[in-house]
Amino acid sequence: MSIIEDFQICLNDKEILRLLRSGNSTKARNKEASQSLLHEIKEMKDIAMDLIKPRGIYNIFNSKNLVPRFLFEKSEKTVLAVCTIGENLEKRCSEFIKKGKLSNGVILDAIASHSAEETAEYVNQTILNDLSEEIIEKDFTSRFSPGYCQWTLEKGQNMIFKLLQAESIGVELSSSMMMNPIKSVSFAFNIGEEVDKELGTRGCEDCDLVNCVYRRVK
Amino acid sequence: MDLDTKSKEAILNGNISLAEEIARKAILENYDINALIDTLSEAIREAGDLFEEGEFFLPELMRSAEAMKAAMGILTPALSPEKDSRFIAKVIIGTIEGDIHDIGKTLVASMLSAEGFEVYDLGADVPVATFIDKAVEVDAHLICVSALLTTTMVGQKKLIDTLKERNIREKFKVLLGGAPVSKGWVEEIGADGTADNAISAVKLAKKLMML
Repeated sequence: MSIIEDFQICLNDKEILRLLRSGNSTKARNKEASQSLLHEIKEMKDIAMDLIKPRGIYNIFNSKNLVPRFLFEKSEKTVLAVCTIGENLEKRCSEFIKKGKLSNGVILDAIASHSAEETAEYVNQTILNDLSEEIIEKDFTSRFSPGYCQWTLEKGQNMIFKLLQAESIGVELSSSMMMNPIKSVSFAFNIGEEVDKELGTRGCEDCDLVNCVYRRVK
Repeated sequence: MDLDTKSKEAILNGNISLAEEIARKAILENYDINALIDTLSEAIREAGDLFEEGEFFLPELMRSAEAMKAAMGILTPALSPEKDSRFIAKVIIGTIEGDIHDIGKTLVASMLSAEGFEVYDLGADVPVATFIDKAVEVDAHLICVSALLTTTMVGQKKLIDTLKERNIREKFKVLLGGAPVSKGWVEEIGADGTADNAISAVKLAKKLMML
């Protein structure tokens, strides 16, 4: 089991703005943000960068021991991972909201969501680098998470948290399968010669949750 | 610039200090408070439309809501409670037990409040019994229940089932919120509707109240 920590993530204003846009908007999709909004985002990013503590934990498993079989049957090895940005940013966001500073709160929340995704991306890439010798001449899937790709939240989270000591990076699983801190990501990816390379990438367009705020296909 | 234009500008620009200044001036100079609130309400609805159209980003909409709240904080005490009640309906809102996601529900609560609903925000991780007891206590019209996880959505069904068991289902409209909630789920459990953002939620709430 390996822990990845002491790294920094980069935040992209375009992605933060995407998260702050109405998912329904048909017009003005490319509308430029005002200078005052960009300034506020910069201020919130400065606050966030001091509070984010990105960390990840992972291990590699023999895929034949994992269920549900339809997700792992074509795979030889599977990496399971949990990562988080920690609880400090979430707390600051709640403080803003409680004080009625909703504008600051929603910007910090968008930054936190983006940070969690960037952390997952960094951890994913670092694992691939760590395993570079094992994956020579093999294919690997994109990462996929419980709750997506027909992997039920309950089964997926229970398996990942049973096999990884996520509490060592400060992440706990509630009885309702919710991770605490909220801005945490659990995921898997498969390695093998015949893996389904589209696994983890076809999620949104084939998903039934058309109103999902995280949906990337409109 | 007349007061109507100025007050509309204060809301659409999310200018809290201007909104407060207008509210104070209206009271001091004996303006028609109800007419001013109508103008402010119109402006907050316009801010919502601009958000839905993609002209506004969410923080801009929230600043408008903050400005509205600031103005209403000054204007409401100046209204006569008997003659001038501006509340259009009572709403109980919260995130269901087992779920601590708070922000989406808070945004809906803020926009409902800005549009004239009397909102009782119970917070997150709220047991079904607490939702129902509060709704009965304040004689609410609407119950809004948020769930962000497929595992906690079952709490929304439990709430509907409990209302039926207590023979008070017809007393309240029940709106569901949260990323995993679909129209199919609303029909399956017998709720009254769902919306995918705070502005749509307010429109739906008003529609259900036949406003």
